Amino acid sequence: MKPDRIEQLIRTIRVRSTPGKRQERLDDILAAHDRWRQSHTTSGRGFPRWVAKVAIAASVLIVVTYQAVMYRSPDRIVPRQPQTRAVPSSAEITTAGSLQMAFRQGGLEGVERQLDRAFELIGAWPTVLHEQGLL
Amino acid sequence: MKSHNQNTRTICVILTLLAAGPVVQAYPPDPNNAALLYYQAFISLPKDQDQVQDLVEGLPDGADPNDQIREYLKLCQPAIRLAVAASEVPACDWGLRYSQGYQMSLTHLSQMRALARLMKGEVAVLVADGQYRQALERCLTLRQMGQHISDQNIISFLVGVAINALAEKAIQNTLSAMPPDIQTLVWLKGELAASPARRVEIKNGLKTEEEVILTKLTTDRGHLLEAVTGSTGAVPSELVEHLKNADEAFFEGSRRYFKAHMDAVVAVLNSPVPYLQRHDQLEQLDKRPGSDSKQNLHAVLTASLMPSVAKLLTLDTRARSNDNLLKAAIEIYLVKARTGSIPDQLPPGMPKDPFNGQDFKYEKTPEGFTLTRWTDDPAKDKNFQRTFKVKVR
Repeated sequence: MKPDRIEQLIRTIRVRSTPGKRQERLDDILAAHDRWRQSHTTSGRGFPRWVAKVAIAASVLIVVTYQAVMYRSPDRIVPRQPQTRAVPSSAEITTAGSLQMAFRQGGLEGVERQLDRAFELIGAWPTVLHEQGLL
Repeated sequence: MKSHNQNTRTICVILTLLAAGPVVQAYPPDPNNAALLYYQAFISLPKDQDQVQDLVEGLPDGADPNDQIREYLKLCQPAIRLAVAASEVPACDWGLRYSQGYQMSLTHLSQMRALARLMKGEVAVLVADGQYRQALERCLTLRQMGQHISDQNIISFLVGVAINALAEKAIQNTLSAMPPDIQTLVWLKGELAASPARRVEIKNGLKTEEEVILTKLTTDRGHLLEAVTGSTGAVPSELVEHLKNADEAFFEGSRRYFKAHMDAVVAVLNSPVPYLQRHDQLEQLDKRPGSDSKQNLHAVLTASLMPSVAKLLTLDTRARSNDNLLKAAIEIYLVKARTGSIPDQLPPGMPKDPFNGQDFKYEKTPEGFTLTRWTDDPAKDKNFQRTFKVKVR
């Protein structure tokens, strides 16, 4: 039927119906539409099922790749570990009190070991002082 | 006319002397404090030579130093020359801050030990090159370094004992390598007799310990723990609890207990009884604060702070014994140098072993002789028997 004929038909036709039957019919149509939508989509957002599958697969791939890269990277930012006791400095282990403790625990050998350790930590003094270092 | 000429000559002489005076004293005098020269020696030590340093320090007795060691010791010559100059200065004030108590820095002790081991390496090179007199001079420098490092505190005293032991070992190695020479041996005997046996005694260190502890045992709790136990040592938890809750009455009682304990210890050290008796008495005294602290809170700090004085006595007596043993060895070398043969028995009039007041045990060996002092623990006391070789020309 041609469009102008359909328009004329709609203007002239008289439809006999009751409000209850009209509402029932509308409900039937909407329910059928909903069923059709659910069978063709994964969510209520209106994306096709295959799109959602691809999106999920892509997300999984991204997460796995990120983990692999981050755990191997030497420059990764790691969470700050709880602060543990720092290695004592040479000055700390050569106080009178510290050396006395070494004697109480290890005798003269204990004192000598601690002094040797202190010497390793401080080393010898630099023999050359560059100009840039002095300025 | 004649008197005018004489007056003119006199005035000229006076003016010349006045003019010469400022020229002679144009530069400051050399330091009269050996510690300043030692500090310069520490600064002069080469840097980043850890591996070679280990080679020098680990060089076995009597071994010939290799080229690497010789090259390294050449680099160390400025430091060695400064140490030799320092050893010739009588006074030695390290400038320690005793007011800091247990926080007093003793960093120079580790540097001095390193310098002493270098000197021992230098002795090995001189012996390998046949320069025995110079080697013995270096040994005497080492011995003087041991005297200089001893100060008015227990730890410095102990390091002095250890450096002196290095010197004695170096002398033993040199004597074992050189053909016995009367002139050199007489000179060495004289040098050992002339240098003081001790610059500082144990009781000096204990006296300083007493003054530090009595000053620090106060309610100034903020620094007490760190000050009295050392910043790196584990602090016993019961000590922490006592100090947290302590009031002035606790510290007053602790000071009284400590003073009484120290007086008892020093009384035993000063008594004329033999070593074994003093050692046994000191062992009992060392244990007393620990057992008293179970019922007397005032003994807790003494139990934590007091070093073992019985151990200190043993170390000191061992050092004196080694000193006498070395002098006895020199006498035997002199007999060999004068008569051409090693004596079958220990000659009379030898220095005695201070451990028991008796002669050292003497034995001839195919290569020389051994001298053995008394020891209570042969397993731990590694050097109680010394072997001396006699080199045939």
